[in-house]
Amino acid sequence: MLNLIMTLLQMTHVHAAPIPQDWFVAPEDSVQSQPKQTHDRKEFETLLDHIFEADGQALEGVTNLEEVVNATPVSRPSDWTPWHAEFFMTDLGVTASGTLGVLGLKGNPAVSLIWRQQNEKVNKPTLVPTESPSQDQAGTAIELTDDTTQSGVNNQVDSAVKAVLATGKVKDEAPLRKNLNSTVQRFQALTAAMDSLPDSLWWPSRFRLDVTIDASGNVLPFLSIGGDVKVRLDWHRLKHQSHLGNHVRNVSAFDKKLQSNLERFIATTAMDLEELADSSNAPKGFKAYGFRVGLGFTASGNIGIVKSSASVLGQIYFSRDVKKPLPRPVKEIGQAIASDLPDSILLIETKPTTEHLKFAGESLSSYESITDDQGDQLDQVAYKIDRAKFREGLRKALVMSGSFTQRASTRSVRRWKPWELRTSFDMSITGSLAFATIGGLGTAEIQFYNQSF
Amino acid sequence: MKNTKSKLGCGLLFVISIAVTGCNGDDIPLVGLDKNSNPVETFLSKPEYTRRLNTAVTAVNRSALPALSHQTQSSGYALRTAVIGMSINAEIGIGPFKIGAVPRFRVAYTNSADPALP
Repeated sequence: MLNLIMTLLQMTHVHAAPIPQDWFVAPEDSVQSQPKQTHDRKEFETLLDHIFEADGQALEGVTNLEEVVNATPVSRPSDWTPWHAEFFMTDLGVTASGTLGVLGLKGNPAVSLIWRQQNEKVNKPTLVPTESPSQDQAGTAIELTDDTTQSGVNNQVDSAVKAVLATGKVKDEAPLRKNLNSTVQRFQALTAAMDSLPDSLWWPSRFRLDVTIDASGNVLPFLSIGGDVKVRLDWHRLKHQSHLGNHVRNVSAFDKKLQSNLERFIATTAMDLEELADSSNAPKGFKAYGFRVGLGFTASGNIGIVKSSASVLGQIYFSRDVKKPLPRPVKEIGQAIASDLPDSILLIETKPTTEHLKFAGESLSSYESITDDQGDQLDQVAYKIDRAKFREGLRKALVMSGSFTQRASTRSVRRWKPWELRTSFDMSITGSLAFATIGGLGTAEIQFYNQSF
Repeated sequence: MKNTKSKLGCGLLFVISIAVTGCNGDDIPLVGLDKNSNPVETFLSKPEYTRRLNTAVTAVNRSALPALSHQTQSSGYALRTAVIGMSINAEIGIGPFKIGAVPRFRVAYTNSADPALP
């Protein structure tokens, strides 16, 4: 009787369709994880179908998504329409135990789905809104392009300083202005490295740095958890010939080295991202058009991908125009610079655990502790990852993403349909990629758009 | 007597199992962090999930569109796109939600036929 009761109780437990363990647990963390769960693919797909169907039904049921215009504005832009809902974004999260579900109000997403109404005219994939610097606190943004003049930069910095002072959390304007100007100058020096690169299949389209400003006006190159003021610096590449060096002055020797190493990092990563464009790996129904990764640097000026922490250098976005033919074959470009490219990339971790260091010692060719400019050891480590393993990790990420894009591409509702899908990952010491969990931080993201929209 | 007891036991077991089940396996898991950043998991039936999300989006819509319609141009800048979601402390007319039991979403509004989105 007791056995029967237990069996019945187990049958009533709602299955949460856990995902494969290697999808969300890095190999260096597997010894600490819970016992392996079995993955039922059918159950997983059924769960996704339920979620997407419920999202679609919820959207279809919302009425009055457009402004009622009583009188046409006297003056209006040529592309003016009444205010209306254009995009709708939802998130899925993965817990540390591997439960996949709809993400609640707090936590980091593993998968983001962007819906759009099908009767909208769509000619090309457009950038969709990304998260503000903090969900709990409004931030300030400085936006630059390769066309922004120095006076334009100065005006934006001035506006940002005023906005920060208006919060009341920073009292002293002088150090704030000095530190923010210095940060923007370094930011411009780095974006100059991206301006100069030739066209390739994947090109750096955006560079983003989120900083925190403390009460003393110091600018910290990461997002803190707390009530400090956040500022976002965004640079967009408009994909034409740039004006290299027009607004970059007084670049330090260290920043010049960062520039040079950033150019090499971008060139090698653009080649590695070929894995995402390979049609044999492409997820069904969706096509990868964007890749985002967080960057950090060592005291010697080497650039690497950051692991499980806010980036200290910024986030770089790679894009490819999936509809435009290549200006030149990619292999030709690659071979021109391949001779000088490293065969490994760096993965930078802050406050590494002893287990991670032990794992790295057993499985990697080398890793180094990071020191500051004075030679004092920081609580950071740079792991040297073989580029072939990184490319293998990208292939695996594509397969994992495909499990979601396949279900999203089959959605069929009256007005709203999935338009874009984004998957967030954290990089392992082995070069593999695993989904970012709700309590973690995704330092790499792949963006797909729905080919059959 | 023994048969009666056995039948009653089975009947009670049946009632308990029905009461505990209460669902048909279509439940949707919600995951997230509470205000203390501890992970939380809960389940909503599919109809309840759809209802909550629909209610939340409708609430955002009802407040966003009128506010956007009354935007006036100032300082040479015009608002063309606004991304709006729910905050953790939001109440949307049907009582405060338990943290983690509201699916997260954002709606992007625009008054452009060819939006240049951020």
